[in-house]
Amino acid sequence: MKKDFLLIKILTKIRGVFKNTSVNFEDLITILSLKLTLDDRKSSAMGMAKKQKLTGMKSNLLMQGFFGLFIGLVMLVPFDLFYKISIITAMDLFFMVMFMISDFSSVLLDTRDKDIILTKPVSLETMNVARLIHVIYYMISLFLALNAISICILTYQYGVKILLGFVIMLVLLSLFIVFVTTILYSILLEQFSGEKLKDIINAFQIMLSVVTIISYQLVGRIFEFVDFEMVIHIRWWTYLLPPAWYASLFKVLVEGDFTRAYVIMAILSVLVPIISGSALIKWILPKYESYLSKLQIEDGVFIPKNSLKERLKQSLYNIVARDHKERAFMKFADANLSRDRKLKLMILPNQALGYVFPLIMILPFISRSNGIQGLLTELNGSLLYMNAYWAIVMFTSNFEFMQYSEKFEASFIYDSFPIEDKRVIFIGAIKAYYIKYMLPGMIFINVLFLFLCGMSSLVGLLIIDVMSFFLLLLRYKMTHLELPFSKEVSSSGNKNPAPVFGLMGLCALVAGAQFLFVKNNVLMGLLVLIVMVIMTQLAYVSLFKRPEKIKQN
Amino acid sequence: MDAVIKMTNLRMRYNDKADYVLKGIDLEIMPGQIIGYIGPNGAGKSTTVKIMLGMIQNYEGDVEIFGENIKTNAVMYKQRIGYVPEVAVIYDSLSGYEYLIFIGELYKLDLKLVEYKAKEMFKLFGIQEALYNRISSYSKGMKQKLLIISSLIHDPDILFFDEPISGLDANSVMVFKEMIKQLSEQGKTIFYSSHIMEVVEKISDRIILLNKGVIAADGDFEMLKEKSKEGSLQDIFNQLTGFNEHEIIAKSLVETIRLNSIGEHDSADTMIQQEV
Repeated sequence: MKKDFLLIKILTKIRGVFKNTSVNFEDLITILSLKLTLDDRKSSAMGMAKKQKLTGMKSNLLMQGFFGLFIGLVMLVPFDLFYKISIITAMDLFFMVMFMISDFSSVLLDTRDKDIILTKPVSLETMNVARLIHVIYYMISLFLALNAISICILTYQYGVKILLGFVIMLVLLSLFIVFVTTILYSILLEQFSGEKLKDIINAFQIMLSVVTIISYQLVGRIFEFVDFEMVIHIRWWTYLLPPAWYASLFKVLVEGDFTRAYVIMAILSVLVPIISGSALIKWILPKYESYLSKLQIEDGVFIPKNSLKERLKQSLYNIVARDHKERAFMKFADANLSRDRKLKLMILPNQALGYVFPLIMILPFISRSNGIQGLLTELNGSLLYMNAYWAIVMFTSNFEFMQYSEKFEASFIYDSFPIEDKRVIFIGAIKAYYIKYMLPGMIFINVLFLFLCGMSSLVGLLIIDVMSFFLLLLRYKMTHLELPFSKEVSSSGNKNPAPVFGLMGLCALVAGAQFLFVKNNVLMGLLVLIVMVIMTQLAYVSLFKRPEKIKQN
Repeated sequence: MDAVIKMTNLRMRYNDKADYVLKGIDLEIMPGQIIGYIGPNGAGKSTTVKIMLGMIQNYEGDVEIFGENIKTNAVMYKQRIGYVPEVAVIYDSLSGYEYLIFIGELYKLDLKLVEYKAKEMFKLFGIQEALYNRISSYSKGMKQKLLIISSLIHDPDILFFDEPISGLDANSVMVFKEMIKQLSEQGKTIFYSSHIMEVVEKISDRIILLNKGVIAADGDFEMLKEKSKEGSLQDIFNQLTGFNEHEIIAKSLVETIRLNSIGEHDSADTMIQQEV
């Protein structure tokens, strides 16, 4: 462990702060350097094949910096300062809270600390303060990454005075976020136990990643939505919005605008972090450890259900897989896909993108027309449904995630069980993946485009449906994939970009061909459909059913 | 001599609605004893140990260690205790060396001494080549040895061992058993909880059997033997916990394993009835 972290150096300079508290400064430094060392190593443990230069945290900061660039561009638009700061704060709040829940839940909810550190002569206060400082340190880094560019632009526009505003905002906002998240966790921990809670946190993480990923897609279009002539109306609910508090703080501090509403909200921006902070220290922190111990109680119960959904799934499985081994691996893959939290966190946000992408692509066509009726008549018979290929690109490229698992070591069973042909594991996984993730997506897309483009798109959509399975098979063949659930979940969770571009190119080709030669011609469409079904069948058989070629030495 | 550990009417439940896991434990432990702490799964062994380590605070009753109530003096007594947990929780992206230095810093030891002890003990346990490797690359036995070393590096006066020898090879087990014997002769108190009766029988000066949250038996092996008129600690354990159907259950298990089709034999149901 090294000790030359910037944070440690700063803390050593201000050690006087801790003099008259129950916090032991040496322990604090020891624990913090441990935590920072652990953070540094987090992802290098994963990058066995290719050494990553950036650890998870640093690449995260880079991403946020990129987003900060866009916020900075918005700052160039001559809005009122109130709006500018509201936009900044809203973004900061969102990203920082998301960061707290997704990346830092492992820090806030680390039960190892209790077993290792609390059994040593270290007081509970010291450990909790170390935790808080650790979190706040990353909040500040994140704040700077997000706002550096905006700060530069605003300083140019409003003068150096605004820097003071940002310093105050940084302190208050970080405190506010840490306190609010910790209190939120404590409430959740008090209400729910063990597995249930982990599911809730998981759902939170997924939800927030979905929102970020989608907002990354929307960021380029932000100027299309922005109404440039905004007048500030402060209504009663404005007082409930934290971004408005901080914007008011700037109005008061920087522009010297002492309108009553601004003053009240500026006071709120200071008061709320202080109140929530004292509530945290007084009521929550003392109980936090006992809340955490709940996390270790495992209480997931999965009694086989005989519901309609289960029976439907069962009969569907029986139809698509005759071989009992194949069916076993389908059920196995399905159970893993629904329970493995880390895997879900990787798959679901990317999956959501599959639903959203076609919508984003048809957005420009929709905004032009007026009224739903007019829209439908205008779109009827159009080839807009070709945008469904966007969804297929997303869905099929997500198949890559099947390789990962939280408990990847358990894949020893593939070797210890009598499985002659390992392809059966893949085909089980492919079919389970299709039914669980792609089928609902394809149904959604079919319904959507049938509604928008009318019945004439039916044959075209059927071709696309067949193509979705065909392309999934191609994705499997495209690059070498490890056996399902046999790779460690990596912290960055990024896909290998090469197959994504490959699939995109393929889809563009296929969609282009369909666009040029098939259009809405029913006869031609049916012909292509039949050819595609046969081709898919052939691909399926040659990939999985034909005996494996014996490799020559 | 004063007791090093003293519990008075210790009761514990995990929440207000749940049943008590510990239903009033009274216990005095003298220095230099090796206590074999045994009991069936769910008897409350780990809970007792966690309370003594300050990992659980919301218990009822009093616990005194080195003559001081651990609720009011919650920190400093930990300077003199060591702990090997049942499950190997460890910051495993550190190396063994870094982990021990970290522990040494928390105990406020001279780091030169920690370094020397770490090297020496790794060598004596036969794992010196792993000292600077990442813990996540350790085998189960190596992790266990590291946990044992980290519990002893500050020369504590009380040791809490929870299944300390799981994963150790036979030779290391012999070293370990001899080591704790010699430590106890030098006045260390060892609180040893385990499910392996043969080991507990051999090493313990005093055996405490916990069953359903109460102490079912307390005394040295000879005393327990006399009291229950049974041969081995295993038999005493079975008798005191009211378990004597292991042959019947094992037989039903074998029959279930050998089953070729349902209906050929229906002993699975009878077995469950027997167990209840």
